[in-house]
Amino acid sequence: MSDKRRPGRRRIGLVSANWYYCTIGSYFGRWIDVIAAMDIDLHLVQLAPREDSKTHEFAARAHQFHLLGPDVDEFITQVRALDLDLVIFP
Amino acid sequence: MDQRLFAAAASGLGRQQWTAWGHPVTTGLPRVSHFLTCGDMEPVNAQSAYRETLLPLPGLGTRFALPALPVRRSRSDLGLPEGRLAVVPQSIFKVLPDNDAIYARLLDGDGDLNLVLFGADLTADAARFRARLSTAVGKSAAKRLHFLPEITRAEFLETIAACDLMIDTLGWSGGNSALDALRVGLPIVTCQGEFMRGRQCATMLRLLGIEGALAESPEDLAELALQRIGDGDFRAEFRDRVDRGLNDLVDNPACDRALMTHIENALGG
Repeated sequence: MSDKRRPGRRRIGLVSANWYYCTIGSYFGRWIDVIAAMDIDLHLVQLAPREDSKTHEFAARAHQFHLLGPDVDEFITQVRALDLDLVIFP
Repeated sequence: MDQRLFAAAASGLGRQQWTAWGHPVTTGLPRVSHFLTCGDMEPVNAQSAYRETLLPLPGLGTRFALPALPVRRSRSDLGLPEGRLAVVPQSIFKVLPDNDAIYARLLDGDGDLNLVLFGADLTADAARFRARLSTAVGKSAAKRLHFLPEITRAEFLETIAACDLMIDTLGWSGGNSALDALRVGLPIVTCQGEFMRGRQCATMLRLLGIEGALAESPEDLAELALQRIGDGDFRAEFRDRVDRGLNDLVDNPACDRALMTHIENALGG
């Protein structure tokens, strides 16, 4: 991944294996709305395989949603391809 | 952090990587530069416990959607014993052996008190947990340990609403569970830990202005619980403070603003 700043809107990834109905989802779901309201492209990334109705609710509130993996090497390649300026692991 | 995510974070997924208190301990990873934390929950010199640079957020650090109030159900309906009833409403991985002496003292100090915990599930971990606690409190008192299986959020709320007192866990304190207890008006006693992960519940109580719920030491926590569990004045004062302050605690717009500021500063506005 290049360290050079890409032109255009910044991209943030909220990356977790816990974007479903659980403590982390309850705590950090609000951050999806906060970041999505900024002048930033928000990519919500869920590391497979867990997903439930809450996952889909979160997905609808982000600009883009990606259910990736579960293989970790494949996951790394897929997330790097999103060319994210900032990744947050909540 | 999920083990696979930890490996991914170590290899680097973006130009910058930050983490937060969903996993409330430093990653130790050179590629993770910043840690979004609840500034009010951190001790003095908190930075020394992290490899990452701390980015403090106020209060809870996020705006938390409170659950709907549960239906009030009788203890018999819920399968709970009558009499004084304390609860440790945590996932069993948060109930470390350091807590065991507290439960032993609690049950020894009040022969009519029962203690509810989770861990009735048919897993090897749960079986070890039950055996550990039964040994710690002794054969006779172990009859007053009541283990519940994993239940739905609604059932969880109904259950804790039927209890008299929440005993917070040492080391990794209640977060979501403490907020659920506050939601249903269940009084809590806690002992503040050394690190942020052990200070979440204590901070919530402090921000609500609740007094008399904080033990000076782990050794004092059982004594405090024994005093508070039947203390009607404490319960009334606790609930009054919660009624007056909980909405502001969980829905603080300053949390959003602080998060946006940290991001704007990092990404150049």
